[in-house]
Amino acid sequence: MREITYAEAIREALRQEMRKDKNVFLIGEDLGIYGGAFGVTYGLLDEFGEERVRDTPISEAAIAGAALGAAITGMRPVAEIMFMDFTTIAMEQIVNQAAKIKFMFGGKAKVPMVVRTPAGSGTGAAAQHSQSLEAWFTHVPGLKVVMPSTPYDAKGLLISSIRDNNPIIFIEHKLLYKTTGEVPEEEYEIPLGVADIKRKGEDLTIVATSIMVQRAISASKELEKDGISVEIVDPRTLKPYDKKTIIESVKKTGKVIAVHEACKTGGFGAEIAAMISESEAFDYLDAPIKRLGGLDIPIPYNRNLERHAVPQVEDIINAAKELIYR
Amino acid sequence: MYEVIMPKLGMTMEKGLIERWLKKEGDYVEKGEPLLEVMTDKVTIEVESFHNGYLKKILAKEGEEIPVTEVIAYIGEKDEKISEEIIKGMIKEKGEEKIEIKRREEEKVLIEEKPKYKVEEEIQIEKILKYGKEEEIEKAKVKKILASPLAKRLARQMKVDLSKVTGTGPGGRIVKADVLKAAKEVKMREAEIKEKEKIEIEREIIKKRITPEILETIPLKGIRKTIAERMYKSISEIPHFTLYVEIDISNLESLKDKLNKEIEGKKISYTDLIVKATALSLEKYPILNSTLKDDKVIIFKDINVGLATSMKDGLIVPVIFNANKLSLEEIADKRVDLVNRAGENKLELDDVSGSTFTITNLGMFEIDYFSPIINFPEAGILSVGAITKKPIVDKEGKITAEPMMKLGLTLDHRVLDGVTGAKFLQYLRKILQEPNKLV
Amino acid sequence: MKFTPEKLIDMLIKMYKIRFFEEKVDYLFALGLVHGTMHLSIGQEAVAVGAISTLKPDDYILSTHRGHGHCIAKGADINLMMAEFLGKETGYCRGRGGSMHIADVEKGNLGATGVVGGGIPIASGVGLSIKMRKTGQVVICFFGDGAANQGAFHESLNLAAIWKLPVIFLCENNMYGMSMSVEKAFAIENIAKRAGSYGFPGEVVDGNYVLAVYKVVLKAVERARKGKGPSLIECKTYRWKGHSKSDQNLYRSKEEIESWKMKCPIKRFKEKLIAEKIITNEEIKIIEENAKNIIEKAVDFAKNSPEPSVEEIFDGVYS
Repeated sequence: MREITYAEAIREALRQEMRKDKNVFLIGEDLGIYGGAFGVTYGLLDEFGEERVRDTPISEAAIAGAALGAAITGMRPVAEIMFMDFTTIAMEQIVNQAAKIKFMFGGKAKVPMVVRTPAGSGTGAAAQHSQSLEAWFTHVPGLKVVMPSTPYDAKGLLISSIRDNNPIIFIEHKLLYKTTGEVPEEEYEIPLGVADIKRKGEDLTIVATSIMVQRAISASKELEKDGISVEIVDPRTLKPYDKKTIIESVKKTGKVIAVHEACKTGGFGAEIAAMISESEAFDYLDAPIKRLGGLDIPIPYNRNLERHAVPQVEDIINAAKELIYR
Repeated sequence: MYEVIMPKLGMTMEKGLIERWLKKEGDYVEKGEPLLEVMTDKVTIEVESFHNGYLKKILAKEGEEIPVTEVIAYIGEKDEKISEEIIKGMIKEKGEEKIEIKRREEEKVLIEEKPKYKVEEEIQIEKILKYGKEEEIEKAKVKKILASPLAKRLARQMKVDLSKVTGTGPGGRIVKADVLKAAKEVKMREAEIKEKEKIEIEREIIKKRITPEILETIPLKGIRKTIAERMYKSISEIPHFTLYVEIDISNLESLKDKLNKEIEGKKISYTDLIVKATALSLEKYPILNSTLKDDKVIIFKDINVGLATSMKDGLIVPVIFNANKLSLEEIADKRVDLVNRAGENKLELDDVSGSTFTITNLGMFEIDYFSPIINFPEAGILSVGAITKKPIVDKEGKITAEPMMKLGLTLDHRVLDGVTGAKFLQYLRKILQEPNKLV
Repeated sequence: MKFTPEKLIDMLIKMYKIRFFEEKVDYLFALGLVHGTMHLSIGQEAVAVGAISTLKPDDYILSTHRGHGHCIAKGADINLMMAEFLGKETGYCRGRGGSMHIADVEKGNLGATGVVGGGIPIASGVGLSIKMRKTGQVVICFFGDGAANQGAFHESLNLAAIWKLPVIFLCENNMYGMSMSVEKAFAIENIAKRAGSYGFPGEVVDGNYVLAVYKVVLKAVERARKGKGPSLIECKTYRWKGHSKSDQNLYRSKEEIESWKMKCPIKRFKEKLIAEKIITNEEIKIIEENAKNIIEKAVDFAKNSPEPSVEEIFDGVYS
C-alpha cells in the first residue's frame, strides 16, 4: 500500500469529506492560501474556494462559536485552532456551549462539529505553543476527544469525526505530521471509542496516546532484546475510550504503564490507572500501575530541557524494566 | 381572599425575619407594590405584593421569623369578611402546593433527626464501615502481607498460603512468579506425600502377605510350656548330631510273630523289642546313658528308658525303669500301662521322671528318618522310623525283599563322638538282626 | 409604517403572556416549587415582542439568561415552558435545562445560554450557515448590555461584518449588568455606536415601545436578508425585578424603579391601541383573562407532568 504522511492523511480525509458532503467546510486561521500553520490544509483552497476553506481573523472564540452556530443549523464545520494552547480562548464556546447544548436542550439539538488542533512539544515553541491539554476536554461530558497516532488512524478517525453528530476535539501532534504510514486511498471510517493494539505482547501492557505510541513502539523493540514482550494499546479516542481492550490486555500481562506527553498530574493516565483499579483487571495486577507523563512544568524552550520535560523512549524502557523487576 | 406567604426569595432561603410591614391592616395594596421587608441571610429585601386588594389581616408580627411559604397575612376585597378560623389562625387553607412543601419540610426534618449513635457505637460502626465485620477487623490487625493483586488472586485459586510465601518483588512484595513457585512446591510436596503414602500402602500389603494370618493364639502353658522350655534348653545347650542306620529286621519280625503266638493275651511290639535291644546296647556302651552337668559326664548305672509318647496336650516321656533287666513281657506290660494312662492323662510324676535315655518312634506315621531333640539332660535319643520292605542282596547275591527298620541316633557331641555312636549302633543292629538275645 | 390590527393585537397578547408567565413563575418560586433561580424580564416585554415580530417562522433567534420573553415571542408552547420550570420530563428540555436554557429548535429558537455573551459567537456561526446554505433566513442574537463588554462580542461582530452575515445583534440594554450600571461599564453613551467600528450600522431605540423596536429591527432584518450583513440595535429598556433572586436593589433607587414602571411597555402599548380604537377596554380584559388562563393551564399541565426518570439521565449527552 502507498505510504503518505500524517498531515497528508488528514488533508485527504478533509478533501474526501468535503467532496462528499457540501455541508462540510473548514474554518480557522490561515487555512487557505497559507495552508494552515503546519500545512495540513495546503491546497484545499484551490479546490473548494474561500467559501469552504474559510480564513478567519485571529478570533478563536469566534471560530468555535461560528462552528457551533453553523453546526446546530445544519452544517458540518471543521474548525482549526492553530495551536492547542489557543483552545483556551475558545474554551467558553467549546465547554459551556458546544458540549452542553444538546443535553441542556433536552437532546433536541445536533452539534456535528470538529475542532482540529495540533498539540505537543518538540518544536522549540516553548510554553505557550507546546501544550497537551487533552485531559481537560475529556473532563467535559458532551465532547468527544480523538487523538490519532498514525497516518492510517488520522484519516479514518477524522472521517468518522466529521460524520459524527457531536462536538469533537481532534488532537493532532506536531511531531507526527511528517511521519509516514500506509493509508488506503479510499475513504474509510475508524469507529470512535475503539482502541487499537499496536503491538501484541505478553509481559507488559503500555497504554500510550498520540506520539507516545511511536515512542512505546521504539521502546518495545529495545525491550524485546531483553526478552520483555510488550503489548501496546492505543486508545485512539480518549472520550469515549475503550476500557474493555485495556482491561483485557492488563488481565493478560498483569502489568501496565500509561504514558502520555501531557503533565502527569491530572493527566489521562490517572483516568486509565483509576479505571483499571476499579475494573476486574485489578485482580490480575502483578505490579502497581505505572504512569509516565510530562513533568509538572511549562514546556521549556531549551532543546535538552524540552526533551526532559516529556517522556522519551528511554524513560519508557526504564519504566518497563522497573515494572518487570527481573 | 389571597394568602400572603413568606416568599422564597433565594435558592437557599428556608425562613425569613419580618423586619417591617410597609402597610397596615386595612391599607390598599397594589400588585407589585412593596408590602413588607424581610431579612434573610443578613440581607433585607422588599417583598412586593403578588395581589391587588386590602390588607385584611397580618398574622406574622414584625420581628417574627417565619418559614418560607407560611401564610403571614391575608389580602381581600374591601368588604370581604375573614372567617373566624382564619382570625384565630387555627385552620389555614392549604393548597396542594403547600402540602407538597410541607412534605418536603418533613422529609428534611426526618433526614436531620436521624437517630444519633453513642460514641462507642459510632466508632464501632465507623470501623465496620472501614474494615467490614468484626472478624475482618481482626484479620486486618494481623501482619499485612505484601502481595500484588494478581498474586493474591492466584493464591486464592491455587490455595497457596501467602503467609508462607517469600516475595521476590520490590520491597519483598509477593508477585505472580512467587505464588506459582510456591504452588509448584506445594504440588511437589503433595506428590511426594502421595508417593510416600503409596509406598506405605504397598509395604502394608507385602507385610500382610509375608505374615501368616493367625487362626488362633494359644498361650503357652502347662505341659506345652514345659516342653517348650525343655526343648529350647536342649537345642540351645546341647550340640546335637545324628547317625542313621537301616536294619534288616526280618529275624526280629519272625521273633515277634513267634513270641506273640506263644504268649496268650499279650502282644509284644517292635517298641518293646527296641526298648530291650537299646537297654542292652546301653549296658554295652554306658557313655550313652549319661548326662553332662557342670563340666562332668555323669554315667548312670540304671538304664531307665523313656518312651516319647504323644498326648492330647503334648509330648510326655513315661519311663520304663531298668529296662535292661526286664523281660520283653514285662516291658510290654509296663509300656501298655504307661501308654494307656498317658492317653487318659493319668500318669504320675514318678512315671515321667528319671529316664536316662529316650526312644521316640514315628514309624507308625510312615516317617523314614527324623532328627529329634535330645530329652534334656540326657546324652542321646534313639529315633525309630517306619518299617518298609526293601530289596536286599543276600550272602548268595540274591535279591530278596526284606523288612527294613530305619533308626536314628541323636547324641550330645560334648559327651561323645560319632565313632562311639556308630559302635553303639553296630551293636544295636547286631542284636536286632539276631534277636534271640532278647528273649 | 402600517400594521394590521391583528398584528398589533397579537403583539399585545404576547406581551401579556410574557408578563403573566413571569409573574406566575416568580410566585411559584416564592412557593418553593421552582428548583433553580430565574431571571425575569418584566418591563422588557416590548423588546422581545417587537424584535421577534419581524421574523418569519423559520428565522432564528439566540436568547439569553433573561430569555422567557424571547421564547414566548418566538411562539413557544407555554405548557412546555412551564413544565421545564418545574423540571418535568414534558418540559422543553426534559427538565435538563430549566429557566435559563429553554430552547425550541424546531421553531428556530436556538436556545438561551447562561453565559453572558455566550450566544454571540454562535450567532455568527448561524449566520454563516444561513449564508452557506443560501436559505435567506436571518438570526436575531439577543444579549444584554453586560455581554457587549465580553471579548467574544468583538470577535463575533467582526466575523459577521467581514463575511456579511445575516445577523441582527440585538442589545437589550436594561441599564444594569447585574449591579453594574451602563454608566460605570461603558465610556460611551450608546453601545450601538460600536457597530461603526466593525463597519455596519448601529441604532438606538426606545426598548419600551414595541412598535419602535419593531421598526428598527425590521430594517435590520431586511438589510440582512438582502445579504448586506449584520446590524447592531440597542434597545434601551429596564428590568423591574432584581437581577436574579435575592437582589436587594442596593445599586439603584426606588425612585428610579418607579420611574421606569411609569413607562410600562404593556400599559403604553395598550393605551395607544385603545386611543387608536383598535381595541376596547373590554377586549383588553378578555385578552388579560385569556392570557392568565393559558398560564394557569400551563401550571396544571406542568404539575401533572411526570418527573424525568433517573434511568435516562445520560440521554442527550451525545447524539
